[in-house]
Amino acid sequence: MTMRRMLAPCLAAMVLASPAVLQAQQNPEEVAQAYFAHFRAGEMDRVAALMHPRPLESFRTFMLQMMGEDGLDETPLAGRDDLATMPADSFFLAFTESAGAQEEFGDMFSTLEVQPLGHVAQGDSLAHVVYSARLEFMNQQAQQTTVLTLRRHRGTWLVDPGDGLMNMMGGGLMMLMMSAGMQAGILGGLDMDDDHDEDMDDDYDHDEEDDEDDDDEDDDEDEDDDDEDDDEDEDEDDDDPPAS
Amino acid sequence: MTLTRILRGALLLLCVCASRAAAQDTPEAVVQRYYETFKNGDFAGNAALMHPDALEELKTTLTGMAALPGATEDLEFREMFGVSSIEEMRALPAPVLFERVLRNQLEGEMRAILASTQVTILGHVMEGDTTAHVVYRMRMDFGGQTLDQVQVIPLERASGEWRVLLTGSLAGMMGSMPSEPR
Repeated sequence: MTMRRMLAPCLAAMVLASPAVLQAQQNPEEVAQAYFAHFRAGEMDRVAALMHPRPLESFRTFMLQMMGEDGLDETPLAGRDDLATMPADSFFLAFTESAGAQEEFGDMFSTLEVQPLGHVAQGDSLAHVVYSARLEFMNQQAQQTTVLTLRRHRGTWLVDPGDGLMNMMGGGLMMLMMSAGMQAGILGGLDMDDDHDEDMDDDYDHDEEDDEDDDDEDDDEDEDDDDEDDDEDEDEDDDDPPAS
Repeated sequence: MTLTRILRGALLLLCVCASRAAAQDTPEAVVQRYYETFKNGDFAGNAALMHPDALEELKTTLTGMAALPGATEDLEFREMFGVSSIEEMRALPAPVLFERVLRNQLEGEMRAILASTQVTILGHVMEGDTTAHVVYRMRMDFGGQTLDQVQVIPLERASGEWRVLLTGSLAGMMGSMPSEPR
């Protein structure tokens, strides 16, 4: 057996097992699952790697137009003259880091659970994955069945979360995040009434304690004044000539 | 054969065919009709395509909110529901209540926006045997902006027919609101 014949199966195995081929073999549901797993872990570089070029380019164009030169001066991206020329995925990462998205949404996304249910194909190049998503925000559970679009790009499925800041930063989970926020706001408003009453009671008690303390202080001051008066009287007595 | 018998037979055939067609309605067909009722302002037709459990859930939430102190004294309450007391509201059938809410909320500019909205049904994904999630693209123009989004809506069978459920976000928010015990 020649060296070439021995190496051929090895080379074939390497090609077949390469990440590009593995990704090409991934179905839309698997890509969506991986995308959300990276979101949950805060691995934004891997999130960007699974995004289709279309939304990345659209996002860069939109943000540069919206912020303009003056606007950029007020962001951590100020001073960078390569924003218009850097790759769109690098722009997305730079903006995400500068916006502190991970700090802002990290706790929320760390609770994200996703279960793909299937997909609807639209032609050969679009797949809409329907999935059940759940996350926790301010101790409130929000759940929603929603849809994520994927597009074919060079034989692989890549995510298109849609245009706009919220879609890009929220990974297509905007509606779920809004639902969670509103639920937390609704219940927070209801809880606040009870907590507010408790706080009012606590403040009232504290005020009462303060009043008592003030009274004590006043008493102490009065005692001090009395003591001073006594001292003065004694001094005066000392100063007075002895009675003859 | 008399004319009456012929007509009776034709009507019977029409009813049988209509009911069979309705029973065979796909989830996609129901959603298509559902959005057409928004475009046409057929709010009673819209309520008829909602799942009865979803309508009852909505009624429970709305009556719970109406039970909050001072709610029924609000003019908007009377305008929206066409009743002047919570007792009258409780007596309304859930589909009628839902229809009144839609009629109150979806008039004027909203009607115009909905009338021009384009909905393209793309397909559905089953969740188990009883729930279908219909995927559609919605294009809506309002205030110079265009919303072009792929969305999903859930349906469940009720008496053999596919009927529309509340979306997850609305159901979740309703779960957070005060509601009357059923």
